[in-house]
Amino acid sequence: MTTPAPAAVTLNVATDKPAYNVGDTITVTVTYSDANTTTSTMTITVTGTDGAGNTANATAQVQVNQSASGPVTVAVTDSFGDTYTETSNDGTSTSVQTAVIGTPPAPAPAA
Amino acid sequence: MTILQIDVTGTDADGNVATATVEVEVGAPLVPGSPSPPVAAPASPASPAPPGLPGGQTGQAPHPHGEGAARASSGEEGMPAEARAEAAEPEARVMAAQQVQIPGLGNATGHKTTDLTNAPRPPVVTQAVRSTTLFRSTGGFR
Repeated sequence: MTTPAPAAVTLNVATDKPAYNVGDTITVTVTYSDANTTTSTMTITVTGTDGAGNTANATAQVQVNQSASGPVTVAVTDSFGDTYTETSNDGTSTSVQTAVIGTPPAPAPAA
Repeated sequence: MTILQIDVTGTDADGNVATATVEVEVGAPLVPGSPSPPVAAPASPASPAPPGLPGGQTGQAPHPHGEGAARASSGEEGMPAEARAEAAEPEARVMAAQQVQIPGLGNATGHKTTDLTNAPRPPVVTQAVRSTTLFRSTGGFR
């Protein structure tokens, strides 16, 4: 674990899928901590080995809060102009926002 | 496929602000009965914080575990990618399930197995030919 980061608002954003179709509902989960929260970054290392001895490594980093966070107001916009609704915000770490994906804006005409 | 960029802004009670951006792919609506499109979202490039936001930084990440993901914080450098796969990744092995008919039991789902008893076999070498014998039979090396 690294040394605690300086005070800052921290956001982690994840979508429920990497790809969607027009008309799908997208869920955006935002994990946050406010500037008064002491946080550290923990790196997780995973090694997988198959029967032939081939190995693969992957790492992931997660944030570890060492003190409680206050609420963070979260706003989400996207490049299609969709409207996001906050379905929940627990006031300490997580905001969940959803929207229905509309049609992409028409490309600008070529000059 | 079209890239949808999602911008997230978080503001705490003291007015500190952070922004993050994540991108996902969007395709046309599916026709009923058609297969799902492949799901591989690209990592998005880092983008600067909107003007007027104090110390805003954004950081991007690839999409670990099939999800879009990004991390950002204000007042410090953007976080590195949250997850990455390194070299020597073993190939995924997929075993397709199929419907097999079991007499008296109707259909059941199982895995296909291959019968190797009738498979071609390589020739078996049972004896090595000595080179000296071959040379003598052709009259060479006397």
